[in-house]
Amino acid sequence: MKKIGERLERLESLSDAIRDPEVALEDALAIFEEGIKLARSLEKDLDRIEGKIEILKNTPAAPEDKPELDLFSAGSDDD
Amino acid sequence: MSAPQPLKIAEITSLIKEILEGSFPLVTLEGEISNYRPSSTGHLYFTLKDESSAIASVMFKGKARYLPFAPADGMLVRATGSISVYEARGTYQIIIDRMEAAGTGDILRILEERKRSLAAEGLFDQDRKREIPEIPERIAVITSPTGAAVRDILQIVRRRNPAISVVILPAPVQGPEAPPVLVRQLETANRYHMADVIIIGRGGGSLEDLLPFSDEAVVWAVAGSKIPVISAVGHEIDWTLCDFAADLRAPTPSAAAELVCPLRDDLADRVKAAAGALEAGIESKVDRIRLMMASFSRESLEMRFRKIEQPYLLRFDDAKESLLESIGTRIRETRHRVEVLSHIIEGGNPAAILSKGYSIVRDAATGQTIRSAQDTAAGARLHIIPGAGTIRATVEETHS
Repeated sequence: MKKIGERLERLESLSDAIRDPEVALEDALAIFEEGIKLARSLEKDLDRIEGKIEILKNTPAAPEDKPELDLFSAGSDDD
Repeated sequence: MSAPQPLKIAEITSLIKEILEGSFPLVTLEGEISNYRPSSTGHLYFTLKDESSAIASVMFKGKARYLPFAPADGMLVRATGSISVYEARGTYQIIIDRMEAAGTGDILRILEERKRSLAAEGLFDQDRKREIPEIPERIAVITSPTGAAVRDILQIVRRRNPAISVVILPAPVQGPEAPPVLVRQLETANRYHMADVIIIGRGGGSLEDLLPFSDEAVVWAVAGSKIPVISAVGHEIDWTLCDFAADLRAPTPSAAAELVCPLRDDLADRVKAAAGALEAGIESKVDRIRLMMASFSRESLEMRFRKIEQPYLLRFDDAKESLLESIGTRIRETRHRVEVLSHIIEGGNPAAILSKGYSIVRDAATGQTIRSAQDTAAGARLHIIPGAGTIRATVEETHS
């Protein structure tokens, strides 16, 4: 799955393309289909995706180490 | 009175050492560096002095490594360390643990100088700047995990767009231990491509507190990062050299989070707008085609056919008419001629002449028409044919 930004960019370029009077109806329909699918999936993702807050736990040294991440809690939120 | 027993040099020196070192285990001095002599092994030797006095000073390699600035003659510094006596020479000196530039004037001067030299290296050039991604999915934050900065950033990210992930790369943000960790975390974030954008920073603090963010190694690491970097150090009025090397300078950590997090609602609106545009686009296309097709309806086709047909019909009509007309003319002319001729012919009919009082005279015997008196003679019998009936006559005499 491509990133939200890339997909949104694609969607906006599709919505520009469909306005071009030179685009044939068949092409416009293909654009429409792709665009609407993209819009639905983006709407769903925007509602659904919850970002993670993590913290780097180690000091990885390439190439053998990988970064170790842990969920981060910032303590109380209201201070 | 006998002369007092002389003390050995070693004894007095040992006493002085005991007194001095015992009395001043830790002192902080302020003075100007002079006679600065860094050794090849990394230790720094110099003299600290003020208007009237001077003290020999040494900073050993292990401590000198963390100096946030390069010492130089004439620099005003605040040094903390312990007094030590060097017995072999009978001198005392201060062994410095920590040293900072004293007075902001000096720090600023150093920073300005460093800024100039880094700028000369092209580190702050506009064309080095990478573009900050419009919609990052993951943000790396290099800061203290316990500071106000991380809390502010997380709060704003959560509020503006909970879909965005944050990875915190913990680092001390002040003191000599900060720069190497800041550098390492920048490298780690890049090596494992841990985010689409990096925020490096801390909350407000004194000019000295912010110095790690003007550290040359940190500035180079910021400039060298492949991932775009937002520098967010202190408050609006603060500046560090990171600000110049970064791709974007945010006045505060909160502002950095605001800058880098698109509002989820805005994104949703953009998706809606694009979907609306797609629908409108298709509709207008279909409408256009419908409009185009309307011109091919039965009625309009017929109309167009009529338009094409009309001139031909007209021409045909014209031709027919002119044909009829010329035929009529010819017939009238012919009839006229016939009339004229029949008059002429009628004029030649002997009966018509006879009816006007003329008569035909024929020789009764030969039937020859008498056209002259010489054609007959006295006694000859004649047939006279007038307009009506016949007359028999005899010639009495002729005259020529």
